Amino acid sequence: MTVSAQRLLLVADFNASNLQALFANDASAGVTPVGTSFGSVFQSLLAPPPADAAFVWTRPEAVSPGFAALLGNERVPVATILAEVDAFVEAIDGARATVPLMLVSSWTLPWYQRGLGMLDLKSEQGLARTLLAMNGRLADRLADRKDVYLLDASRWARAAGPRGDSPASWYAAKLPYTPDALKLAVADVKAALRGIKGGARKLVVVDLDDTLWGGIVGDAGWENLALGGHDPKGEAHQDFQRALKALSRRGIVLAIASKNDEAVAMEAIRSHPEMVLREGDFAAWRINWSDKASNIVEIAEELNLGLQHTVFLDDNPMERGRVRETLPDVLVPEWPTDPRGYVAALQALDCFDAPAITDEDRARGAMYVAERERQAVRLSVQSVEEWLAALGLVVRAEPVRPATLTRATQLLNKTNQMNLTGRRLTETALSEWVAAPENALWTVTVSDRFGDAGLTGLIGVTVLQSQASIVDFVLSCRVFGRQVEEAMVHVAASHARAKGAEVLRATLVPTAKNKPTLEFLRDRSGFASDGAEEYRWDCRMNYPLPSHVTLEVSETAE
Amino acid sequence: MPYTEPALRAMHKAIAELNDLLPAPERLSTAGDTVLGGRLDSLGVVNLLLALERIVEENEGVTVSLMDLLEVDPTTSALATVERLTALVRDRMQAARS
Repeated sequence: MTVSAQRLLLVADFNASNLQALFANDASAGVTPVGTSFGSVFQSLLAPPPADAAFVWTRPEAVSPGFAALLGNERVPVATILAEVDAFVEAIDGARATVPLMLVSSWTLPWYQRGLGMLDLKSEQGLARTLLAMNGRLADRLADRKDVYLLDASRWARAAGPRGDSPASWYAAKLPYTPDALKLAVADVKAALRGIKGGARKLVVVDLDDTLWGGIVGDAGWENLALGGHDPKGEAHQDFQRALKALSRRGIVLAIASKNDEAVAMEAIRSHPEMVLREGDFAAWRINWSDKASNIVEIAEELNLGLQHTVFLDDNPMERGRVRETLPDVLVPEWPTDPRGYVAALQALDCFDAPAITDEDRARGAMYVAERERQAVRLSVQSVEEWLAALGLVVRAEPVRPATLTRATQLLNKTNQMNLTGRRLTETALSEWVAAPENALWTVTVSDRFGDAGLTGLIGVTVLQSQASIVDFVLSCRVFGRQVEEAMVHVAASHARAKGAEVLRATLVPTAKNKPTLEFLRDRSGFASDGAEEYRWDCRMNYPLPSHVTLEVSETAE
Repeated sequence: MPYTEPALRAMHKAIAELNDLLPAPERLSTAGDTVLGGRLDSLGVVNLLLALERIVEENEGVTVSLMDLLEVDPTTSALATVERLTALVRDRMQAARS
């Protein structure tokens, strides 16, 4: 089943009508909320109606009778309560047979509940201490469940503050949370669904003057910028850089769009002693006097990242307005006028939520820097062939295995341009597809003398007697243009041939963004065309491997 | 009359909050003659009254209770129109302060 989450089941132990209304009224959520009877959480989980996803939001006393007793200061062994948490997890597991994606909220207490006061975290009978144990148990038990995510409800409570919980609305209509708190939950659910569908933002383009540092470098000189030191503004700018650096470590690529003299700005980046972000932290930059919208388009093209994956941060409301108007796909958040609010504004963005953070994500920034160096070599040689030969390209294909399944799923769901069908699958669904005997799925890793691009490709092939079909042909744009595509087809064709297939077919499912796949199939693959979207290779012939590629194929998962 | 403006501001804000929870065709205007009774369902009435209570307390520092309105006929009581409900809120704010 796909993860489009058209039908979102709402399971709650309270009146979720307002929650349902907020989802229904929010067109950007892209879901049709489906309510269940409140107060019947376990029943709803044991026999849920068909849905693409579920959001399960409960109060701890509704799931654990032991915790309910604890609220009345009865003595209840922690083990009893944790066993009830386990029963809740089993109910979630049961629902997964019908609902492929589960979003579960953690448990909170209302702000006014002080429990045992100073003993609440010390005593085994403390509410706060028990709730920590319950949430820890829930997180531990759900951690290895594919397509189950625990959302942090304590952040909704913190952000809504005393306005989040409402005894008045509880007594009036069994609504424990106000619309303020519900909206925060809706936003997090939307972010999670968006991330699972591959919609997370991957690129942050940031301004320099009065954004990355305080002051105008062209006027003041880099020595006089407000950055670090014992100054609230300088410290705030430096902490903002640290926050961006932290973001880059989880796979978000950083770039610069600034109206400045490039030499002056780069000198500041290289020379200012309190800069946290240096040249090597930025995958690309456009520092000139041109329109920033045009520069952002150039940066996105250079990095092969879509504008729909781009965020632009600038202190100047005119620049923000211009980019917002010109490039509606780019997310341009409102930005604080005071730099002391920059870190919070960045950390509050939910557009980076993704279902997994892989090693490839963490190394993404370094990969782009390597690509910049790679392209520099390209400019120094006479021909593309000479450049390709100089790369020392190694393509490694191996059957997908548990350790690579998460990254493979992520790649399948995020990749748009080189993607044969654009099909989106959950990790569980992909695993089930691979388990079928007629199917085979390889992950492809690519490296060269400049660096390791990591797991950047997928080839899925189905062989039924004499007919073989490429089902998934997915390649990250990071490695386009090095004939990795041809090496991947070589793997698919060799497998088809070894399995006795006479023909290897590739059927393109056109999407709004997979034109590069069409161009490869039509112009470079060597496949014969049976129409605009049907291509085939005669398996009696060897599919040639590009001469500059060293291919390492593993027949079994290592 | 004292509290007329604060009551009106609270009513406008409460209607804005309520509208977040209503489907587009059912959203309310803030005009005084907007009919409430018989138009809002019971949850809509609860949401409106709760929002009013909270906003009055936050903005004016006055605690008013409107839950007794859940017990009366919405078509003939203060719930009948925006204007009548605003007047009731105003009176209760005044009573709470006196």
